[in-house]
Amino acid sequence: MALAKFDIHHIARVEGHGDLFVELKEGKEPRVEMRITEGTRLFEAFLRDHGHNEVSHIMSRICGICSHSHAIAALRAVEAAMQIEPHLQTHQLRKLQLIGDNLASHALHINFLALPDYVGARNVIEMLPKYQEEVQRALRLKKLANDLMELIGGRHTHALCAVVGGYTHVPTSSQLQSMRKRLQEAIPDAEAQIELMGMFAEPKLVRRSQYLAVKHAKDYPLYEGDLVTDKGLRVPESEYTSLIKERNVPYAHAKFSEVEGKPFVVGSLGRLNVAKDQLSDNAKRMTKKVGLKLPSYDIFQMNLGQAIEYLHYLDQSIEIIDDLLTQNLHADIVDYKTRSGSGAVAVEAPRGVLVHEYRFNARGRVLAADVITPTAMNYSNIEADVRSLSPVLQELSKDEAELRLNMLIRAYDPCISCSVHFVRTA
Amino acid sequence: MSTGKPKPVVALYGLTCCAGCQLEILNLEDDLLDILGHINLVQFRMGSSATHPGPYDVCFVEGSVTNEAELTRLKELRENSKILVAMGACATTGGVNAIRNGRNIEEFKQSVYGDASHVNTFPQILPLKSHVKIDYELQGCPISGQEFVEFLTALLTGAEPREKNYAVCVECRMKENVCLMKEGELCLGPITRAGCGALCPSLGFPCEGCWGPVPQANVESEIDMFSQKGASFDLVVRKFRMFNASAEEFMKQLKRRLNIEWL
Ligand code: SF4
Ligand code: SF4
Ligand code: SF4
Repeated sequence: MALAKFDIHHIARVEGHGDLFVELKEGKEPRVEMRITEGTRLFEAFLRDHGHNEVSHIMSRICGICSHSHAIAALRAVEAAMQIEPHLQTHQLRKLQLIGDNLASHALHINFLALPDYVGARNVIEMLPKYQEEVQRALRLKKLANDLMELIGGRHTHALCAVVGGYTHVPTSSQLQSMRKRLQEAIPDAEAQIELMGMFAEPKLVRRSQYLAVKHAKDYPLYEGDLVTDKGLRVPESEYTSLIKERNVPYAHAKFSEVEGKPFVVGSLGRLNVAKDQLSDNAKRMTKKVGLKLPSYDIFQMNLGQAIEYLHYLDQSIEIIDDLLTQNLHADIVDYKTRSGSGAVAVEAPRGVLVHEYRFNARGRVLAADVITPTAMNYSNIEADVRSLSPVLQELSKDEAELRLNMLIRAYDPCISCSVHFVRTA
Repeated sequence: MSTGKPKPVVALYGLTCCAGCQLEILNLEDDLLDILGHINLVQFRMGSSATHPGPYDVCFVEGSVTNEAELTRLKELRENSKILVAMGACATTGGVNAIRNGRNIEEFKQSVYGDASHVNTFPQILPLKSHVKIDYELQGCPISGQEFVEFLTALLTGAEPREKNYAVCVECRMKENVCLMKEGELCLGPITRAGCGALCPSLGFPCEGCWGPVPQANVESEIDMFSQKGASFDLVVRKFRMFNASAEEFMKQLKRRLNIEWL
């Protein structure tokens, strides 16, 4: 007999459409299903035959919230396939776009999607009367990130001037300088955001899983590197299939993933647990100040982790801009020859590791595409977390239990549209 | 905006899409709190766990209808809304979702899912106005936040929202840009509806047509221009279909001019 059943339809304050089904049974493993109901979009199928220089603008439309991450992963994969080597300036501008994506998404998730639960509100509007200052700050932090993306990519959602081999347009030095000033001035806001999220030690869900990020020798996870887990596994990004294994589940329009047959976590805790030593000094100082011990195996600390990353990425973007200001910036696209080949890369999208892979024919047309999104990587771990939460669920009232489940899922900041049915095309 | 009357009940809905158009509204940081002061935003799944069954004074819908459940949902929204607004390319011209149209959907599904028996999706993606009566459309992929504010302001003040019935080229020339067509690029600006402020050509990238067809678009002369620049048949078709595979004004003429059966 079922002890309790939860059937949460259309989880709110996440991107896309998904349901959670949980059935607790006497003396049996609970049944947990993350039912991904988002409609099918078939990107990998309709992308075939498109030109290599059309890929990034199409794939950007997978997701509005992390459009820059998809676009840049696509550009890097195309370049890997055709052995195109863009100039340093291009890599740095792209890093700024990726940072913008991470900052904007983190600000949105922390303040608008996760925070209402912690203060007993259903949305940010209900928070307004009591938390005017926090909401205003959130809007400032979000706007700054949007303006950064717009400055580099031409638009905050679906950038347009980043192309294969370079940029059709670049910002002027004075634009970069004034952006640098604003990023610098945002540091106190970013610190206040960390202190706010540091106040919520409850609820907790501590379960040692595996943590995965794109690790680079010099920088905190972001733009390129190896796929590295906290348990010491390491493969080059191009060999992701040897590490991440996907499987179909009958109740979801998305594939689930495992590493060594077990669930794993990507996102802020994935990055922090794998690369905490690479945080900026400011971010390290604040991590200590709020008492976050790393590595952390408490999944609810994903929210605080994002707040810490907001500060880190601010610092990193200032460094990049300083470097760009010493160069003579100009619209620059390297010459290249279209050729056949395949390329696979991984970048850090706001929600974690994002893999793009393409294969092209000699005319540069897409033969096959494969995308694994961070949300799809996390589904298996979400289910494992829900299972381990089941003793607690039985003690809570129905409403409290449902709220707890919603909060758990929202801690992952899932992006359901992103996750839907990305699998290798034949 | 007048505040004497009760605030209109407004809902935001998403069908299958990237949610970028809703995000564009959330991204109106400077105006957001002001806007929320003038409307009663009751349904916004992306931002709120509160729900409201309607009726709504104004309902904005982004995304495309890809299955029966979404079609039912859209019909319910129509019945529950005084004013129904289709928002973004997905909802007005099919957007990238409609690239599948005319292709072999069974093969598509199979290539993505392997065993695709559980995947239920329409072979054709149509603009929302082909499914239900739509009162207004906001174009773009994504929509422009500024156009959204202008539109809402007009509604709230009882004015008729203004349609831009001229092409991106007009905005582009006002900005005194060098024309990219003259530099050999393939730009859809001459036949695309204005509204974005000629965003792409101003940044050195040719227009891809995301605002959809301008009324009385001269598609034939655009196709000829592309061909003169050496564009292959395939490339012309892909350019027109990227955001507009479900825009009848484009597809009819493209089909006729290039004699393509499957479009
Ligand atoms: S129109 Fe474009 S931005 Fe808007 S929801 Fe569709 S894909 Fe996203
Ligand atoms: S660049 Fe494009 S939009 Fe601008 S004038 Fe030329 S054709 Fe028109
Ligand atoms: S220039 Fe064209 S493609 Fe670019 S935003 Fe405007 S309508 Fe869309």
